[in-house]
Amino acid sequence: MAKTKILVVEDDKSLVKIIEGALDPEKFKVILAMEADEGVKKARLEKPAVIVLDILLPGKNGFDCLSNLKQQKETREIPVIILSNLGQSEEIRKGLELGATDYLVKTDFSINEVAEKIAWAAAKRK
Amino acid sequence: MKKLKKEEKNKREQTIRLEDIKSDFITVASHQLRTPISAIRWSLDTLLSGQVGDLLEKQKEIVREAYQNNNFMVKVVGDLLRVSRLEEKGLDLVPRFTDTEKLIEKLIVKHKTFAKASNCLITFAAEPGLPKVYIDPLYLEPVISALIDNAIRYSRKKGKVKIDLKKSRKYLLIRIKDNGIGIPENQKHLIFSKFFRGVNAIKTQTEGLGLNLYLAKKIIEASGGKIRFISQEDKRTIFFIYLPAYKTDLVKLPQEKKERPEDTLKKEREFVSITVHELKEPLGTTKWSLEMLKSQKSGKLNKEQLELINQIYRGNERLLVLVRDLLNLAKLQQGKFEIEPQIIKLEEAIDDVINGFQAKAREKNIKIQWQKNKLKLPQAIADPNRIAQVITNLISNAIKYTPRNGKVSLSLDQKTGENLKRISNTLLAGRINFTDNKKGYLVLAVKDTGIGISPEEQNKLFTRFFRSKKVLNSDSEGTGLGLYITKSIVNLHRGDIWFTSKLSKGSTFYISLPIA
Repeated sequence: MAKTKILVVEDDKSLVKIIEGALDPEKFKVILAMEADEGVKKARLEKPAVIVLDILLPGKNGFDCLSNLKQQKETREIPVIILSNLGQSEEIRKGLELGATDYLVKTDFSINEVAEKIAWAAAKRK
Repeated sequence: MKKLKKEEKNKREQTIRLEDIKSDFITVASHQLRTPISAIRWSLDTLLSGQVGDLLEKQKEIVREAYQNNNFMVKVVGDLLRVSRLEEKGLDLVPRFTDTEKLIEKLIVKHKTFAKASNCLITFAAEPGLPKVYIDPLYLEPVISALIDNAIRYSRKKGKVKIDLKKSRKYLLIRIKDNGIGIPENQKHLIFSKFFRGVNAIKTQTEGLGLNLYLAKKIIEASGGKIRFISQEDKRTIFFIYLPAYKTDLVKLPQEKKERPEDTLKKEREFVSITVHELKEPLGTTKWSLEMLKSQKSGKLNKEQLELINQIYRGNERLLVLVRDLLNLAKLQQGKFEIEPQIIKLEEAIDDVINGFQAKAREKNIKIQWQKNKLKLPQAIADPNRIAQVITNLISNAIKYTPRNGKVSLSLDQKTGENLKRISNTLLAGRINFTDNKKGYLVLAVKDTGIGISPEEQNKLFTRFFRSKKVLNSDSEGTGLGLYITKSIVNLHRGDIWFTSKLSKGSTFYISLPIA
């Protein structure tokens, strides 16, 4: 069975490695994008089941990336989970308004909870 | 004409961006703190889960302690951020009809681990047919979460926390009852004030800043609700939270007058000093624990475990640097940052600093070239320790942003005030302000062959928390406070700092110091 693809848009590689470690390697394949534009490109190319998106990225930010994803037919339906250290109500609201499925503040969740949320979103997508 | 307009527009945009950076100091500071804190949390999670291999009980204990420290830091930063946001921008509640029962069930699940660890039993009951309440869940959720957390925290051994929901006329009433330490009679009138901590709470618990109840009251009242409590010391506390079950007009908090800049600064100082104060200790403890683990005296580690611990260690170091920089910043803002100027030979100070960097430069195969002036230079007026700090920062940046096999060169020259004025006119960003020393200035130049600074970013370079976008791509770890602090120190000496830079060619930083 093909593995479920998860696209993680995050500029901190070590964090991506940790997320990858928490996901079941039998079931998931993590694809990394370190910038917003790269994220959009890979989303179109790889058609991941779920996109995990950081907000503060070098260059364009995650909100730009998200609205870009939601404007394109090929990527519009992919659930996006925002995973950021920014967590004020206006940021959360903005993320949700732009169409994110969930907004997780990094410090509020253990890595296993994050992995569960990703797996859950992926399962729902199927 | 068109060009002029465009320039004007650029300028305006720049000012807006600068304003943005300034006013958002606390947000940026919190984000800077949170980034390593969350990375540490997840690495600790991974270690504890046994995913990369089991740990001995002794090792686990150390990791758990680090985890608790981390948890505490999360809380400190989060609470401070929420309070300063509330005071700075007020509340922007967007209420909608919300199912409180669901919300609380979710929160209880979230607190399960903590309750279990505290040997505390949570029970929950909800009357059937409850109405929805008209609140902003984004704001209310953390408030109720904190109240449940408090109830667990302050309930003692074999604690019981009872939560129930019922209708109370136009309100929905949430009762959170614990059999904990209670609130001392003579402090009851204080519990909703900022930084309140019960005397008995301080004795039993070290965690907490005393901001939760302050926030709770503000947010609940702004939502058109009420919060009350009854408490008996050493017996119990019950909180009563009334939330409106009807569409309310938002209750306007007494709007504070438009904030004066000095008030903003005051708040920033408050934020910084509390953060520094609260974080220093857990960071210090964690550092020791991690070194203990790393040394493998507490037990052997496999490669993956060691890698994770090194990662945590680096995050912790980064936080320590950040805290140190914040402390410097706070001192600078309070005018408490003192310099003791003396008459010094600047060449010698430069020699000393360069010596300290040789090893680091060799690692990246970078050559440090120090072209001494052939002329005999006069002495400068400077605080030797502070100036060493400044030179250290400049060389360290130069090395950091210069790729392998590059070059960092230093030179020292004598300039008159007139010379400096002329240079100032040629600068694309910033200006030289101190030109009135009759004997002139010594100017140190630190030139690198690094990544350079883009024209758009040059204007922001000396603002607090500035970090180049390019820098974010590289692995270097700065706090974005270094140059701001450096500039402030140089200015205290009645000297200036400026630079010239070309993208992917390199930058040269200059500092001027008055001649004695």
